[in-house]
Order: sequence, then structure tokens, then C-alpha cells
Amino acid sequence: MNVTMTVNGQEVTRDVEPRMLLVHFLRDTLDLTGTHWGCDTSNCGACVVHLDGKAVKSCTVLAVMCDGHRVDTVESLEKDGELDPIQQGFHEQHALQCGFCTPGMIMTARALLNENPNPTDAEIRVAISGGICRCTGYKNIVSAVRWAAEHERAGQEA
Amino acid sequence: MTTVENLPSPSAERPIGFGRLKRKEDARFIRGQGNYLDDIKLPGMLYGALLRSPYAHAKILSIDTSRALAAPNVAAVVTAKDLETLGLAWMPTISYDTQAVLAGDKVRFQGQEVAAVIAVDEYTARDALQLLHARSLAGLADLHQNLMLRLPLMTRPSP
Repeated sequence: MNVTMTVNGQEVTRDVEPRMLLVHFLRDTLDLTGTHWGCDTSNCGACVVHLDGKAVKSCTVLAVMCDGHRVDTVESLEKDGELDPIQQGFHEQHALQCGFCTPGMIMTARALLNENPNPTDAEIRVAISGGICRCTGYKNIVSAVRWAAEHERAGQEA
Repeated sequence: MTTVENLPSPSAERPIGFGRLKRKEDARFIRGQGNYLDDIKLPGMLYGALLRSPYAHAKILSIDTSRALAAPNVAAVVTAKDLETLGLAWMPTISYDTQAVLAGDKVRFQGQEVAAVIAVDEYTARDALQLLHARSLAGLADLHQNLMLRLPLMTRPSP
């Protein structure tokens, strides 16, 4: 069946099976492989994208459910060669090693800061609790999100 | 010439190394541009799915692969019998032992791989798993019974 949605600002229409998961639609149909398919059971959070601005696990959303909606992936964050502060924060604070969980973590953190620009470490930890990182550990990821929050606020005040 | 001896000595706060280094590989990972195995697409590439045992210990009587093989877009169904003819049924592992690639006569743990389906995409491969029909005798589900009887061997004994 035909679905039309706005992915990273671009309207796309494709014929998909009703059962196709959003994560497969993004990765296999649109070749947006930045969103990762980790577990397909909602455990790992590697597939987190934004659906109408809210963080969702795209392995638990059907592509057809996004008909008429807006989907944003990690590929949308860099604007005119300018990295999102969260992307910068992950680099600055060494919040990744293998990078597999990173797109999900970054999209989760982006959704958090959109709603709460000044989160406590506890709030950051709750926000990223749906994601699993098996290399770096969560300490540096929390630091990265804090770094991003601080720099974003500083940028807005300046 | 720079040698280890004349590099600046690490500061007291950073006793190991010379401070924090920025990683070059971050650039692609934070943009979603890593290239993981599952991100690679090659022309004519096929996908696999595995049928796993629901039983911890069972004798495999037969595996009927005909319906799965007849399904559209399924390229192959592999069982231990196929591997035996190729001499690939038992393979060395990184633990220096030899284990069954697919369960042949007997399943030795829950989740053990029993058959593999190769198809044009993941959805088709997983669909075809449901067309496989394995007949089995399940046994040794009880811990105490297990302890009294000989436990099934996970690995093939050394010759």
C-alpha cells in the first residue's frame, strides 16, 4: 500500500507491505542506514528516530503508521555543515566507540533537550534508559548530553 | 628525532598517556554514516534466517523442507544433512572445541540452530521458516532427571 511521509524534510511516497517496520523502510527502502536495527524487540534503542518530533523506536512503528506524518533521523541533524550540539558533544566527551548505539542515543538526547533544555544528570539518565551501549558506558554519554545542553544554552544567550 | 624518552612527561592529573585525544572516526559515526555489515548492500545479495529449537533436548526425527523450498523467492534451505555431505556439519570454535553448526540427530540446547533459510530479503526468509516442518521427540526437561541420566554432550568428544 502507498504511504506518504516527510522524511528529513523531504516528502516521500512508496509502495510498502502493511507489515513493514519503519526501521526497515528507512534503512532498506530509503537507504538511510544511519538508523540502526539492533534487536527489533524495543530493547536496545539503536533505532530511535523522531516521529512528529517525539522520540520513537522505529522497530516498533509500522511504516504505514507514519502516513501523513514527519519522520526525522540522525541524518537530518547536521544543518549547512554545522553539527548539532549533541553530535559535537558526543565527539568532545568521547561518548562513543563502535558508534552503533550513537544515532539512537543522539536522537533520544535531541528529543530530551527540545523539551527540557536544562536537564539534570538524573533526567538525562532516565531519558537515555531506553538505549543500550555496550562499549563506552553511559557516563560519557551523560557528559555529552550535558555538554550539548550547556553549549546550546550559551549559544542562545549570546 | 622524537623518541619515547624526549616526549613531554604526562602531567600529574593525567598519569596515563598525554591527555584526551579526539577520535577521527567519530565524524562518520555521529552523522549516521558508519558502514556496518547490515548497511552493506551488494547486487544479488541474499539474506538468511535461522530456525531455532524450542526444546532444550530433543531428538530430530525429520525436517520437511519442501514447502519452504517451494516458496517464491526462497533460494535455499540448509539442514545438518546438507552440511554433512559437504563435511561441514561440525566446525571448530574459538573455544578450541568442535560444535554442530546445525543440530543433526539431536538438539542439545534451547535455541540451537536447526535449519537455515536463504531468501531474497529478511521478511521472505523469516516467512519461510514458518513453512519448515520439523518432527522431534522432546526429552530431558527435568533437572533431577538430567542429573541422574547422562547429560547430552554439547560438543563432540575428541577422537
